[in-house]
Amino acid sequence: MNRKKHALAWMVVTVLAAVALVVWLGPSGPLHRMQPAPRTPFAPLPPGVTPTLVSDQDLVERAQELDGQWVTFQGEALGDLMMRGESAWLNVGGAGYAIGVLMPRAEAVKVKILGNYRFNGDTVRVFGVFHRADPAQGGDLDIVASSLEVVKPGEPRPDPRAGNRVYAAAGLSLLALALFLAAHLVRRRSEGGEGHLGNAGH
Amino acid sequence: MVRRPHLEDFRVIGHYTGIIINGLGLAMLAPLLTALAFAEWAVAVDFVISLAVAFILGYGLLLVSRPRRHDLSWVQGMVVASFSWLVGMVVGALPYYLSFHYRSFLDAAFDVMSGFTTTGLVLIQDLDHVSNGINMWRHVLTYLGGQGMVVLALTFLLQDAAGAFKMYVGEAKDERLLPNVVHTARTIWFISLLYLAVGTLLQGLVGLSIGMQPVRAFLHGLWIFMAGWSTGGFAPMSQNVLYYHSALFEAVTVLFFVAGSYNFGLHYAVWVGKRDELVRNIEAVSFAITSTLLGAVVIAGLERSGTYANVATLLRKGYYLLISGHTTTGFQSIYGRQLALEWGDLALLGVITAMLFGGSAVSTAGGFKGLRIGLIFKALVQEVRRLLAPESAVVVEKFQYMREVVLEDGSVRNALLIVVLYLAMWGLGTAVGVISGFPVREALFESASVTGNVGLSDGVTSAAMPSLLKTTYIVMMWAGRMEFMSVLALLGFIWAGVRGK
Repeated sequence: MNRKKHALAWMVVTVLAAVALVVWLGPSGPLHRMQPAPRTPFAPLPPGVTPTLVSDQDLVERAQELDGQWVTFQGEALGDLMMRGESAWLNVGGAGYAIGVLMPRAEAVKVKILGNYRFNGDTVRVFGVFHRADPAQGGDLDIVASSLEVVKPGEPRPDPRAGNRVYAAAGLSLLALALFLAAHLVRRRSEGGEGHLGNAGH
Repeated sequence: MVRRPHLEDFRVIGHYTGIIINGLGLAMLAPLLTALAFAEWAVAVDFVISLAVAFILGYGLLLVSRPRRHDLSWVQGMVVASFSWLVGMVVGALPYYLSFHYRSFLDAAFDVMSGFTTTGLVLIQDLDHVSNGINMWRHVLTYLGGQGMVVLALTFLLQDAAGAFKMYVGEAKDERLLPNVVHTARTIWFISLLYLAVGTLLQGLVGLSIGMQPVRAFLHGLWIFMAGWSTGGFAPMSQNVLYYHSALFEAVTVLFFVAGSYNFGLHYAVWVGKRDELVRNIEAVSFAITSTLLGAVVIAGLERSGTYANVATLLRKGYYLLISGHTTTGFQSIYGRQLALEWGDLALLGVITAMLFGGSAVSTAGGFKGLRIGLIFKALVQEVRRLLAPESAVVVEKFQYMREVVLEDGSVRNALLIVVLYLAMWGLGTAVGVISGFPVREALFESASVTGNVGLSDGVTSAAMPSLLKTTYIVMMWAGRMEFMSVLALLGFIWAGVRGK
């Protein structure tokens, strides 16, 4: 009975808190006045508007100031081109941050090489509206781009590793093998002899 | 009088540390095979070097440390746990350092400790161009760290380790799911591997549905699951979960990181049919209450600061970050600087509190732990009841923790002691952050994230931060994950070596 009482008590507390939250978030609560901003996706650049050239640093550090403005952003196409119906998400990397760019599928297909371990991706320039917390995309910081152009095609990444690492690997492996065998021999001998600890892993 | 450690103490510690380092070496097979599968030959060579170094160290320790007795004392068990994590950090950092993605060995060691302790803060450079092999290692490290390196060794390498329970406790796990600690360790791995299969499949399918190519969808699915279940918070891309731009992807991560933050004992209880434990367990209750109340604080804070333009956005960003912080996962769906620049003080206060509270004991999570929050609350209730009851009355408080347990003063004292140590460490981390030149607000947040092994960042953690702060954070991550006791045992052991008789 006591257990049931306790279980009931915490459930009541949690439900009350949740109800309070719902009421507060509901039609009569202070959040009611917060409405999603209407938006036409992929709107063309309005006449007379010159997009601001921005860096990734600007977009993150000066997000409030740039929110809602037309911007031009250039960087490396990274990772995956995620097609979602007639739209596509592409993450474009700058010097410090990668920025999510939503664009029409027709623009996205211009990207041929995506950045990864083997390749530096295409350098792309996008034109679009910057959103500090895009209400249509769950609050993501993004650029909704109307167009994309490939400024420079991607290329293979050079590997900075020296070739002589193979010799180091071979030498160290031989030493490890020798110690592995020695440890096994010692264990066998001690198991047959005075009963040293020989219980594990070697 | 402090007893100077005997040669036998060093033998025992060296022996078990050697086994654990061998276990870590074996774990490098996963990234090695990944590198081979994706024809990343240079990366594969780096892993062969690192694996060989691990075995040289591991088998070298086994050869020079041959104890006469099987069993461990409490101090030895604790020292093995804390010391092996330090040695593991150095060995685990080798492939990182060889990859040219780190500015220094200290940075590589930082990321290993961050992975082991399931913190999730990173100093890696150019993460978006990291090989599959290195990414596999990052996530294997955090997955191993979540279950515990000692648990790994107990599962696969130690068949009849007498006194192994003391190492297990040294790794901040004190609940035996089964009478035998080796069986307990295996059960922990069974639970984790079962979730791994389901989680990878589900996360991979979601990856496919959001437009990723099949191989990448399932690789990312595997890694994100590993990081989520371990409450680690690593991700293969620099934007963390923001990279995927998908509410569904985020929702699936929540399922697994909340599950990972629950006590393995609770998973086991549900597995064997005791489903009512889910609603009665003190930690489950504590988490439900604190996450609801702190959620309200975060939402109120965000509403006050006007950070998000509509309710759906506010709930998605606010709750995701709160639950990610509360479970000590550290998955982040906004940029760290947005936290510092756009989230108001009240919302940050809610997240900081959640990060400090943390998840459950004997789980992959960090922080104070729901058990301790629950115990302290119960003790408070008991004191109030004592005040109100007649003097002759005996006031007994009980709580549900796999079974009904009577609240004892000793348990409450231990809980309070650990919480005080966490708070002191949080203060220390904040002080070093401020000394390093960061604003108090940002230092407070980052220090709470490190203290609770969370991994949310407001931008303080970067390769550019001073070495003093990096080293402080490494020690904090380590001590926090070990819940202090085995770290204190190691320090005591060193002290005894210097001053003992």
